[in-house]
Amino acid sequence: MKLAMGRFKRIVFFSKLLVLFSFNVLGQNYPSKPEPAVYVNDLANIFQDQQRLELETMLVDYHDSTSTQIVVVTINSLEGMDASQYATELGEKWGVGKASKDNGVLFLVAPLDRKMFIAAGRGTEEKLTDVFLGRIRDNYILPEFKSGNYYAGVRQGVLQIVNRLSGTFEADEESVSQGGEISIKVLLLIILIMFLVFWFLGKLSKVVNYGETYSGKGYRDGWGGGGFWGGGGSSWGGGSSGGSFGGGSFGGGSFGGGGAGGSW
Amino acid sequence: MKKTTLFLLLAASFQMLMTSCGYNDMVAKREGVDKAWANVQSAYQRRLDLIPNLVSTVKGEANFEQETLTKVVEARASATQMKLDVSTATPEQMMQWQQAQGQLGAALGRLISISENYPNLQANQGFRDLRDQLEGTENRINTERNRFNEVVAEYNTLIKSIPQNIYAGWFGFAPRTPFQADAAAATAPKVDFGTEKK
Repeated sequence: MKLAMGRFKRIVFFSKLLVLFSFNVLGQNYPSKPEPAVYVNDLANIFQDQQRLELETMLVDYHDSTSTQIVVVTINSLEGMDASQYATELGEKWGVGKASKDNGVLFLVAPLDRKMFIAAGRGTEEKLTDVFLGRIRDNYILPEFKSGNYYAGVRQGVLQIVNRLSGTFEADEESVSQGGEISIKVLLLIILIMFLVFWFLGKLSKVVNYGETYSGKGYRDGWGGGGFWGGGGSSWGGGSSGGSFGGGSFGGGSFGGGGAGGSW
Repeated sequence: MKKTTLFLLLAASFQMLMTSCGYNDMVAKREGVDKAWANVQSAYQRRLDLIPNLVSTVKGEANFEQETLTKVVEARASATQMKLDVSTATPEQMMQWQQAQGQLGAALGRLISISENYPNLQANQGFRDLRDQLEGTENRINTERNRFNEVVAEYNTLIKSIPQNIYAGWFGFAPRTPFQADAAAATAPKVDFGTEKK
């Protein structure tokens, strides 16, 4: 058992290192796309864990009930680009929103450059006009940012966007929460059956090692990598504790450059 | 009876030939180019449509610099007149078209930066809305231009590579002209949309 733990730790360490590494190399211009989808990508570390979790849960739920993907990204540096261009390109690159509806929104904050931009996916432009986004920037977001309350500003902005979009998009068949619950039940049943089978096999053949290697390798390897993304696993955990597998992945939504942003 | 079979066989093999030689790919890529161009045009059109409103809002502000305003109106007129058939455009025609649009962009940039000196205008919600729309539109123009260049590059590569280069011309697949980097953009002052300082 000790041996298995040691190996497990090593695997987690290396997989984290790998994620970190690919992050730096591939993400020279843009951070690489989180898979499965993560809605709060606080790369500049401006939110507290609790806030990140709250916002992530809210956005995952919102996606599950409307299929609309609102993604918050905070970055350390725009690398000399315009916030508008950066946000639009990143949204397009990650494919935020469903390909068929283009219902993605990317809320970019660059706290060190003191710049932000909300990029509206092509399908949302009708409701989220430049004028509308410009007004929530002036009335809700920048006043909070000016006093350093990033979370309050982002949260207010997101709530205004959600209000504005209400009724525009409908949930996808596969991501309706009921579907999620059913698949969880099925999964639990499968796990139970597998557990029983292994237990029975173990009893039968007295091969104890079999079960250990199984749980030590393949399964946990995946989680080690996944945990990194949510900023310590909290965000991703928020998604699953919401009662469904929630979130899905980014689906190829397209951005045409609409939106509004500014400086503070 | 035998002739029909032969004909069907021929048709089928022709179909397979067309598919395997990348004819369908060329069609799809060309459609992509045309679609991207439509997006480019609608982004530019959006900017043209915003200007009358902007001009009348700014005119409401007493003693606003007439010269700046006139330049915007003139640049809009010449950009509107300029027609371009992108499927046959030569690099020179493309450049002319770009220059006309570029001048309009520069005139608008000047107008926006001068408006900084007019506090009434800055406080006017109508003007602020227009400024946001203009900024969004500039971003749309950039985005769509980049996309257009990407799909044009893909399409041109496809029709110039072996074996498509042999027969692309037979079916009327001519290379397309991408946007050139704006010569003016490198030297012109950067368009600053007031939102920077507040």
